[in-house]
Amino acid sequence: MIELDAVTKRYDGKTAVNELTLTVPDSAVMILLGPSGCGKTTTLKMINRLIEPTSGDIRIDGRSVFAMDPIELRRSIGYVIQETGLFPHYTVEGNIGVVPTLLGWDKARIRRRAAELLELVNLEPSVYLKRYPRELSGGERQRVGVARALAADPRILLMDEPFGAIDPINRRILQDFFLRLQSELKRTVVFVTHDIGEAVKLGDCIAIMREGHLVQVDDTHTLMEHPADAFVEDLLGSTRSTEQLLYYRAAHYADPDFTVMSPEELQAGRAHTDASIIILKDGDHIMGYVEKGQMISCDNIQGEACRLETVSANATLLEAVTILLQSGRKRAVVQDPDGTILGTISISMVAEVLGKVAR
Amino acid sequence: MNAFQYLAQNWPEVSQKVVQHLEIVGIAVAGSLVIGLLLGILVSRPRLQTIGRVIIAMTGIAQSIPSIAVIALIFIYTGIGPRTAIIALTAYGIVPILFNVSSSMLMVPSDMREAARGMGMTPLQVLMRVELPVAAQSIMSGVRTTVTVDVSTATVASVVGAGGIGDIIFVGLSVVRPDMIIAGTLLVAFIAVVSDLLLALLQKSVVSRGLSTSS
Repeated sequence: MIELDAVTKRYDGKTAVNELTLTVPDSAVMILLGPSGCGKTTTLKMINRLIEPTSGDIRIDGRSVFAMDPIELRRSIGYVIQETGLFPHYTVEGNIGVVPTLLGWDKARIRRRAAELLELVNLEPSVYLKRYPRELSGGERQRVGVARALAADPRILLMDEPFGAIDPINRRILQDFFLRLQSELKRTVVFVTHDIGEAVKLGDCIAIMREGHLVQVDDTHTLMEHPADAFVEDLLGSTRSTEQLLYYRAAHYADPDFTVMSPEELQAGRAHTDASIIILKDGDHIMGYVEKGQMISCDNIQGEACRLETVSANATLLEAVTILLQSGRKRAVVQDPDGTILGTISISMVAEVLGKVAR
Repeated sequence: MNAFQYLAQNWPEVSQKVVQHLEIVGIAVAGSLVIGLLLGILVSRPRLQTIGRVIIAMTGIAQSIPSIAVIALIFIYTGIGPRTAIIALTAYGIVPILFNVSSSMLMVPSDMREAARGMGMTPLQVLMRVELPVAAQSIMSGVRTTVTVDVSTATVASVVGAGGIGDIIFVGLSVVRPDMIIAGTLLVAFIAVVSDLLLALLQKSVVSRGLSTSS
């Protein structure tokens, strides 16, 4: 648990952060959201003491960070910034090994750890360990950045607009990747962003900041239902119906009326159920979908034609629509980061939500 | 007699001059490197960066001062001998190293520094593990410039009695022996080329492959 207690930072009379009090629960992702200059990055950097506050206290698990050695404190906290933060003169292995080296691990252990982490972030160790950052794409670099932060297995991660410099498509992939990782690792994360969609998608809680003040901190839905003031309302864009889509999560609208069947069961002629059918092969590979009351519409259910897109449960409706339109399919499966199928979502369902908003 | 005959027939004497030459250059380069590196690191510290930028601007002017003027000026204080040459070359050779160190260190992106700090590096570790390696390419280029300049300028230092290959050329000049002048020139050029080649190899091994511009 991270507690910020009346934390204030002043620079030459200008107040960057004012009396900010905030608690980040264990294993939660706390988003710091706000326009540029609102003090969110300053707040983040005070947690690992890259910036020393003027007054106030910050505690990690009850212990004041100001009672700790700042160097040791930083080594115990994972720190992710934009991809430019990778060291160009180190290989991927060298970059991931930075903190372990500082902690005095031996080379063999660092290599093992680097390989392990690369697998965790879906990069093949034998291909990537010896590469240099300039030989990677932006998205790969950012994955390495996350792996590097996790190297010494910190319980806390500080992430400062980590996906800010990535193009929208890869950003979405990275966000999904982050959610999968977090559902597995359950770290305490403080995440700075100015992208509302990203905040809604990744955050368990969102802290909205403005001119150094904490305006509101709540979980996503509370925030959306009860914005504290006009500023929050404006920020979330609740007055504009299309942006409404930004902050409703797909999971809330997934149609849970479905049955799961294997291709064998389906071919055995047991397709006459009252619910829609998701065809699942080997327990986790989604192969297709059969609408309620319809016969199988594809001749070959193994075929590409039956492939369904999946949408992360944390994804926003806007993202779901984007995926549906891009894939040219009517329906997508909404899936938890751990693989649980929550239901399906279709364009017409989203249109219904839009209709309600417009009314 | 041509230049090669001269070199062959006078090799004991010539080799002595070559050793003197290398000594002067070696000591001067080492001195320039230490001073240039320390000063360059110093002025790239956040608090001194304004001074750093002024110094970078000033090195441009310093480079336009003729080397012979520096030698002459030092000569007034230290008199005849290799010492004068070494001091003058050291001072003169600081300029390219200082310029390259300070400008390349100032170009290390600040978020890279901050990432290093944020991961728990001490200021010294940030310097040794991030700033210097990232700036290595440019620092090595500065050293190569200094070495090349020193090798040729050390020739001129013969006028203050420093010895070295310059002696051969100046004697050749006074007794009108083109073979001696050409022999000395060839030697200086040869040393300059070989030392630069060696430094290029060193640069390749010192600078990380991740930094080279061509892949």
